Amino acid sequence: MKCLWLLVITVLCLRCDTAGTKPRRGRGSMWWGIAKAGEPNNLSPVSPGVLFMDPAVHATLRRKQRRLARENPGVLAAVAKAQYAFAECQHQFKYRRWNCSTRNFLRGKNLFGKIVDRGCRETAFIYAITSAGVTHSLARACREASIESCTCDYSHRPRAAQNPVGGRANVRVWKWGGCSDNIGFGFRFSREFVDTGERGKTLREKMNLHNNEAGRRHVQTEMKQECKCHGMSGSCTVKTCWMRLPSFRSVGDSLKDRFDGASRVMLSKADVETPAQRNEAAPHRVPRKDRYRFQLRPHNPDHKSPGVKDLVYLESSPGFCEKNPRLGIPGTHGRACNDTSIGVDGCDLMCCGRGYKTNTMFVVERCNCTFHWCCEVKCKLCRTEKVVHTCL
Amino acid sequence: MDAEDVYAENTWTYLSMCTEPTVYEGLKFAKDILFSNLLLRFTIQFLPLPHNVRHSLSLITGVYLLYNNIGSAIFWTIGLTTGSYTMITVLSWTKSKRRSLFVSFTIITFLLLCEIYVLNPKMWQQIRGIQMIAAMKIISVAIELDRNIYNNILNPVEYGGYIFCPANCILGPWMSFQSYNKSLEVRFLCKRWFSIILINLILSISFLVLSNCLIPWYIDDDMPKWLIAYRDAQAFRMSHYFVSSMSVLSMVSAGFGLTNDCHCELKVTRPSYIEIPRSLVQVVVYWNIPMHQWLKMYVFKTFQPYGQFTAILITYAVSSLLHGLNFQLSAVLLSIGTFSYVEYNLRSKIALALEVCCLANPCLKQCTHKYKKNSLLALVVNSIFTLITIMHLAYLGVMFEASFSVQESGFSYLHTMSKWENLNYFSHGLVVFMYIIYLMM
Repeated sequence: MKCLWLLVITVLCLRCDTAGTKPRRGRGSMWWGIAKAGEPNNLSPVSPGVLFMDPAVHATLRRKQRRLARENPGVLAAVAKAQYAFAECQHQFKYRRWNCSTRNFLRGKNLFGKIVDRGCRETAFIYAITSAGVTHSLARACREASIESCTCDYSHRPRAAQNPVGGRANVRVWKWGGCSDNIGFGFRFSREFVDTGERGKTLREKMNLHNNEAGRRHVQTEMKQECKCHGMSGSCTVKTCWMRLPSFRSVGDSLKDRFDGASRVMLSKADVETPAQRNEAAPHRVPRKDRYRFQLRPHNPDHKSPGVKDLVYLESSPGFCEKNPRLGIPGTHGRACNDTSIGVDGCDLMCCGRGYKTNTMFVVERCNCTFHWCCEVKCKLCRTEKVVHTCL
Repeated sequence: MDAEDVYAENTWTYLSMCTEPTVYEGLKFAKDILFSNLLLRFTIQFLPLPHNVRHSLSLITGVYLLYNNIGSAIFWTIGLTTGSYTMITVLSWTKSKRRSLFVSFTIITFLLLCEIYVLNPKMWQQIRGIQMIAAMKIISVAIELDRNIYNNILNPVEYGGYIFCPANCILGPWMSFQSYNKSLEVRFLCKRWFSIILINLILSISFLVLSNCLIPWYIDDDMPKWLIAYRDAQAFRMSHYFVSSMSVLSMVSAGFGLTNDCHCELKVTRPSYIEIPRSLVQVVVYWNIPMHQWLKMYVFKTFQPYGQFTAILITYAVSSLLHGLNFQLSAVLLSIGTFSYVEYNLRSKIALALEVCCLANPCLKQCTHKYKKNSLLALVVNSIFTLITIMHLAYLGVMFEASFSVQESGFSYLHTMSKWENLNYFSHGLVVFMYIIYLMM
């Protein structure tokens, strides 16, 4: 049955493949389904046992992912919690033609629609933000001690220790102590879990790997170290520090910046040749560490080659104006727009020139909020008139 | 579901995120201190060692502890120690009568030069407290030599053991050579000792958590600026209590500062007298009691013959010079000096005029005033002064709260002034106003 399903997907993919690149990538992103599976009330993401047992969830995972989930109890709940990555994606693209809409498919791959079959910018963003979400969520879960296998890595050194900056020999470099937001675990586990199936052989797999890695890097580099000095009369004899995960909003913001400046890539010459050689030498698989060691070449030779934190894509985005069932694009019909804006959220661009209708409605919302010490916020309910523009 | 709600950090997550590493780091720091001090104490306790071996043991454990904490910056402390010892010996040969003056002057100059010429301000911020404690010990030895308190000059091992004593070479407090020497000879062991160590450990870690996590959190950033100033100053005070109780911990674990019946007689600071202060004068006294004693014993008493006011002025000058040539600390110390001077005089005038018990220091025995300390008038007047003092403390302490890079590499002139400007130089204005009242009364 499963094979049949796979076959159907593959066939569909092949059929909708217009650009000529083969988008077939196995079920690498099926795990998106479990993040969504946590949402309806048939499953409770807080009880990992239940989540793990559920066959519907099980079916969205690859064999290796199932093993990882079995070996690390509590991990699935954390991955399921990473659904805030979807919310973040929708927040970042609230005012764009493509608004990161998800559907209620339990089958993870179709969560974002067939757009992920195309190697375009939007797909790059989806991969990066979901991978970042898993990293973030796992790091947090590790701190909250809801993953048993994640132990605090007391010997871990922060990035500052590796940089020579400020590392004068006579000033001891501060060592990371405590369990605050264990990014190391999140990073490593996300590589194992999210990148399962992306063997890094085809160009599309390399693109996915690169974007997944970029998402993780964004979480990692935005970790903040907060410190405080203690000592006689304001000196700094004792330093206490803790690491702090960035808010996921700031990760989303920086990924959105990279989305806007994403680079279109192709495989570098050396890499095109190596797979063939490698296949002869080691026919089975690329060693795991080597998976991340490739250089993508910019499509336009005048551009810089993409860095680890940049998003990369292979083909230009389709138009998102009209409904396109073949690519799973819902179109911008019925989307709200801003009639005064001249940007992408403005009615002109959003509705692709089709025009828009204006409705006036009354909404009840909280207003005149006051802060009462401590710690309560009291609000009144106000009825306000709102003018809503929607695309035709 | 609104996206904002998903990532909103609740209070508990924030606190646990900060508390856990804070406690861990605090314990890690305490671990080193406890280890070397307990090593010293147990060796003295169980092995009958000759005098000089005991002192060299103190020297070795102290150097080990210091090296563990500050790394190669320890050479600055070693340099200070050997240099000063050479100087004291040379001056003794020449039969100079003013050894202490020369030594004090040289040491303070050395500290100032360090501050100006040590290339790395980060390192200086790290070792400043350690150098200060060492300087205080050296000056006290020099003065006591001049006063002929020791029979002959200390030998190098005694001297080194005293300066590098692991019980107080990092966080203080200052202790005299006699009490150091006596404690090294005393043997004791009792159950109470362990509980004193444990209590001080818990106390210091609690102050650390308060300073790092709880106090910065309980007043929000969008509150009135005086509340924020109060919060920041309080976080700094908690940090000071942490350092003080940690220093008590290290002293007690090495067996110093204990009475014969195993009670802790060492008090470094009195949080209750500072958080709810009677007067600024009391805050100055109870902020760091051993330091206060040192200043009184070696600076104030030396200069008392030149007049009360001169002696006070010189005491403040020496105190701020010991802290280094730092505008912020000097400004704070000078302000405290003038504030407490005005307060002291104003209060004695008010006490005289209204016949009420409201002096800066509580009347010791029988109060001669008409209105005793529990009378309504006395309570009202004293509460007003308490409030003014709390405000002064917020005003003076606010500048120690800074971004970490500033904390780490020292405070600048601009930083101080911007903090005070933000509060409109209110306390300085108030003190001028109080002084005018004092002159008119």
